[in-house]
Amino acid sequence: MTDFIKEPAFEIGRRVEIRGPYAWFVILKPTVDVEAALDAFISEFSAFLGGPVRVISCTGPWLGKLRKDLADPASDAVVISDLDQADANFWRALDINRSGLLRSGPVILWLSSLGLADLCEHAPNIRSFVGGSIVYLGIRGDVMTASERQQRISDLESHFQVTSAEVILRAESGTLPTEPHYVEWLVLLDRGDLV
Amino acid sequence: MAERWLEQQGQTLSVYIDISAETDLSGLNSGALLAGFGLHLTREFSGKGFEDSLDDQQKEALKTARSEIKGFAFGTTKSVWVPEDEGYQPDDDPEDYEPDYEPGRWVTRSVPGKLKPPFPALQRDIQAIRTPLDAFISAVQARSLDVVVIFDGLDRLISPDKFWAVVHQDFRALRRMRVAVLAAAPLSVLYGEGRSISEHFDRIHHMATLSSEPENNSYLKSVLSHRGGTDILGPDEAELICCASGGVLRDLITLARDAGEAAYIEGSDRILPEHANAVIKQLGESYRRGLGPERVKILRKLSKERFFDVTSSPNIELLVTGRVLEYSAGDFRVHPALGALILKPEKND
Repeated sequence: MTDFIKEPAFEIGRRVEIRGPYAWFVILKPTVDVEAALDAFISEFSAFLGGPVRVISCTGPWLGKLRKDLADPASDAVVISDLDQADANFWRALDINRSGLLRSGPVILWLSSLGLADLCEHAPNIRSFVGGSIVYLGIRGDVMTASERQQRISDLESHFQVTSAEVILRAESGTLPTEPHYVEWLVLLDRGDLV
Repeated sequence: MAERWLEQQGQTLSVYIDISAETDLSGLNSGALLAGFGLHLTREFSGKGFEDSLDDQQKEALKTARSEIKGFAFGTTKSVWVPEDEGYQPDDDPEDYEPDYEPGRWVTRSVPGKLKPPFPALQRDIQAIRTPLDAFISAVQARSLDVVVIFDGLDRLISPDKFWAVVHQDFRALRRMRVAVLAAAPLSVLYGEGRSISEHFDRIHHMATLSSEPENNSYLKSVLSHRGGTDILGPDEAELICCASGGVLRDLITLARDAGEAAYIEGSDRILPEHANAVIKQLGESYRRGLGPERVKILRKLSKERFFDVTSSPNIELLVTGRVLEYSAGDFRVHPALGALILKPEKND
């Protein structure tokens, strides 16, 4: 069992549809083929909603641009795609201004596990607003079985020549690299709290 | 609610402002609160028809004051004559000019407003808004009404120093103008270094977390019932959700809503225990993410020994982020949805 649930795009679409206006979700993106995964998600998500889904970028004068992009228009579905680049100051600014970012259309925060950790650490109001609406994006509707998960952990141990116990120890001491594979590894070990 | 209550007392003009919805507070811009207050006050003044009984001269004075407040909030642009530096030589023949000609040029100067994101750097020019604000405040007070302003959203400025940097000049100016201020402040002003800030206020009211224990959570259940939650939520599942919310109303509503969604997606017409448990875990995971081993140790210690030092920064952060809840003075507990995950024996312990 992973830390957060895993769902394909159409299931996320169903949740957004049920939720109605002012829905905010975090989608944890896969660690590989990220661009392709985003394209596939947008395609499937917009097909489910029956309308275009806008991808918003946070580059440039971030907060001002983001506010403007979210407000105009405020009713369509948007995906904020590059929040992983956000530093602590940006998250804090976003957090303080949460009320100013509210809109009737659904908002998807497209994040890595590391990006989610930043959000949780520096933006408690946004975290509180998102609540438990955090899902891993399942490709092809799959959910990893216990044996697939064990196999993936074994592959990572073999590739990096490090045991899972050692990875946990290094994460606890703050010496584990923050590369996506290590993040995935911790999550597979059900130690997302160390990310 | 506070605004409504004050209005019902009949002797106040209360102005409610969710300042974070209107302006970017992250720029620590002194004057933003006064600008927001000024705009809301002028709107309330007109909305209540106070202008109708004024004479033309008073109306004109308030019109000017309103314009100045808008200029302070949104900025102004005006043309000014700038003389050229000494020694300037015009390109053309000097005899072409009038004898009293002074070299120079018209330039456009902009003074940035206080409510136009992104904000300019801190400018200590809040005196500029005092006179126009005083004009409106005096006109309200002439009706034997006290002006009260309620600032919501300032609790988002989580660290006490940031909160103080935004509010202290503006609140001092409001006090001088005889305006009462109610403000939502971050929890961090109650503890550690933040305590010195709370001393600047006449009164601090701490909104303690509601009890979520089964014998004492009837209010939480009434919230679910009032919102129609009990239509699809049985008593056992409602109890699960109330307890796991820790008494945090946002979490209570989130859990009930998410459990309803989970039931719907599975084609169930009622929320079952597995739906409630799944969303409780999701919420707990969102509190757990980014926690780190040191903070987990603090939480375990709190749970085991009931010890929690509110003067240390990591502990204040745990309080401010809702991972630790304070039910009454000294009664600190780990948020139950988070506790269910981290207080279990670890696989690698």
